Amino acid sequence: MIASAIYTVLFYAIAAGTILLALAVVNTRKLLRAAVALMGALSTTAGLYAMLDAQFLAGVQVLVYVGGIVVLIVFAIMLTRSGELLEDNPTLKRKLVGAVISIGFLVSSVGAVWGSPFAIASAGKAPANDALMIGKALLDYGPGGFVVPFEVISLLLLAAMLGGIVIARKTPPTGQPFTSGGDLPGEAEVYHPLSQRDDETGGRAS
Amino acid sequence: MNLLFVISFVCLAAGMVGGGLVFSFLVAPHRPGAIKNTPYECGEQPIGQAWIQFNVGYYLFGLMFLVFDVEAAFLYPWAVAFRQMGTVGLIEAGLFILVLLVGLAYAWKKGVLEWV
Repeated sequence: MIASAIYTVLFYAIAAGTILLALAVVNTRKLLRAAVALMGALSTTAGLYAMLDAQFLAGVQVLVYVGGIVVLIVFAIMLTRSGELLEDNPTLKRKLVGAVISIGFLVSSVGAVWGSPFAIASAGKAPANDALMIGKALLDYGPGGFVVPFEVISLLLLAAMLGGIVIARKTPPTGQPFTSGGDLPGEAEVYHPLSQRDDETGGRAS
Repeated sequence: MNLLFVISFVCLAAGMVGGGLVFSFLVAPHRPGAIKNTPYECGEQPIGQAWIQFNVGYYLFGLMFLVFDVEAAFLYPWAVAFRQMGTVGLIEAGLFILVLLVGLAYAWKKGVLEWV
């Protein structure tokens, strides 16, 4: 079966790409490169979902994680003072603690996967139109329906949005545009392209 | 076989990008200079470092985008199942959107949507 062989090769290629990109996330010294590698790792994970016939999950993975979470991470990185970790040399104690924690997480997650029965996977083929099934289950209010979690999700999103606004804002006067109130370091150095063009070379380092 | 189309499309796309890069690497003359190493910004001369600290307002815009991004992800299966669910589904999704609109109104009232 040539199709099955292609499928196997494709799976191992995507899985290897995911692992390499995930290693790049934790090994690079530049935070923005880590964010881009994270974007790639999440995209290849979406590829794995698509290979499992979970097209809706793959679409949500790209829409929410690649398009949303990583963008938010990039904004968070750009809020920080410096994007490089060049000065950071972790001590042996920190390395040991990190190793213990990550090995513990690996053991517990592998144990959780190992202990799960995965009855659906062994029951046969996935439904042909999974978005339709998910939509019906999401809106159904009878037994087996998820309409209450569906509405609770909107409350959760509302709480996240209000919480983010309340934490980040500093009560500007009514009608004033939003700023952080100048409490962040470097807030006074906000980039003004026109005001800094003072010499002919445009201030570029020679 | 749908998968074969996808694979051949991916291979073709990767080949076009990679082929272009490899061909220009092989053929193009390599004469680097200080001007050529500056980032290209539509003909504008770059000033200072590329690493500037963003205003925190951008982060809030990103956060609100993420919230409505997740909302879109949940409304997609609703839109697919809309014909089967009918009026009840419309009311449920309307409630879902209404709750999130409260957050949007709050952000609007607090001036988060004002561009700095």
